[in-house]
Amino acid sequence: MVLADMGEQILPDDLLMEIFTRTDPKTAARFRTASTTWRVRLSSDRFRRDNTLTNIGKHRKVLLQIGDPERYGSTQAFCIVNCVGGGREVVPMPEQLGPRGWWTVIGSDCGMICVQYSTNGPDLRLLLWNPLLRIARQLDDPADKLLKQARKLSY
Amino acid sequence: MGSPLKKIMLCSSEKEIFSVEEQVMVQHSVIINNMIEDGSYNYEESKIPLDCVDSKTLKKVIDYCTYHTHHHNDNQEDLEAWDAQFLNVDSNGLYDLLMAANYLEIRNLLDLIYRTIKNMIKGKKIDEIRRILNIKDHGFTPEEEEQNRKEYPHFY
Repeated sequence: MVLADMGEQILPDDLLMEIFTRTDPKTAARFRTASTTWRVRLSSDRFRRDNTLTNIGKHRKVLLQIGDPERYGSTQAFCIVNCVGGGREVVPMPEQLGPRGWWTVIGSDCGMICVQYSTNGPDLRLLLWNPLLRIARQLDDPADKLLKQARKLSY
Repeated sequence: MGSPLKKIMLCSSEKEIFSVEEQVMVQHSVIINNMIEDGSYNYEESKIPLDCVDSKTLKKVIDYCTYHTHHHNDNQEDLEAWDAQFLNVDSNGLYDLLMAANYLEIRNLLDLIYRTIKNMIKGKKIDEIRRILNIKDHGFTPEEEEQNRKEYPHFY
């Protein structure tokens, strides 16, 4: 028999915290939306650090940039390559980019990718994108300040 | 490290006495190891009171420690098979074992149980995780919940 749930038991928070520290970052990130308590607890710097430390070497995936001119106006698309098994999966682009949007990668850090994009000509926007978690957030950039900073960072 | 023949007494919440090889508990339980080392255990008279561990759970914990003390040279596969069989319990049983392992600070048993629960929730959707871990009140306002579902549809 494989136990499927905790029945009526409620695990103490500190023990759950131990369990989440051991989970893969994907499950941990997902659990941030499970309750307000966990949103706060799993967003702490300490948790992020501990979770990263326990997962070092376990999820060896590398993000590769490959050309795919047919799918996007830009000659870039992404797929994740599993370094252990060699499997590949295509990463869907953030939906904000739209089917015919123009975009270019400004830089990346710790699995986050900063994308400059436009869906209608000269109106440039910035997007922070985590392809593993498939989360993208548009950055408010009224005065183009962030864009300039982002450019500086990347060069 | 205690001598292998010495026995110590553990007392469950039902006041049932369990006599265990000292070495078995010292090797596994940080808290009992500390008690023996600092000399606060008297072999003639002491019984270690474990008021929050019932007899059924204490017996399982002792079984675990005993097996792992005497079989630590077995190959990994056999040990994992034994562990899987050992954790063939209901949710109450698993919860009681977790609490006992936490109280006695039995690190490898804790790790085993953490791993088991971790595998229950790995890759599951939010609604399932809430059910599995019994989260009845998530604390989000209906608007926030709606927003989360919209923003992270693949989580739900």
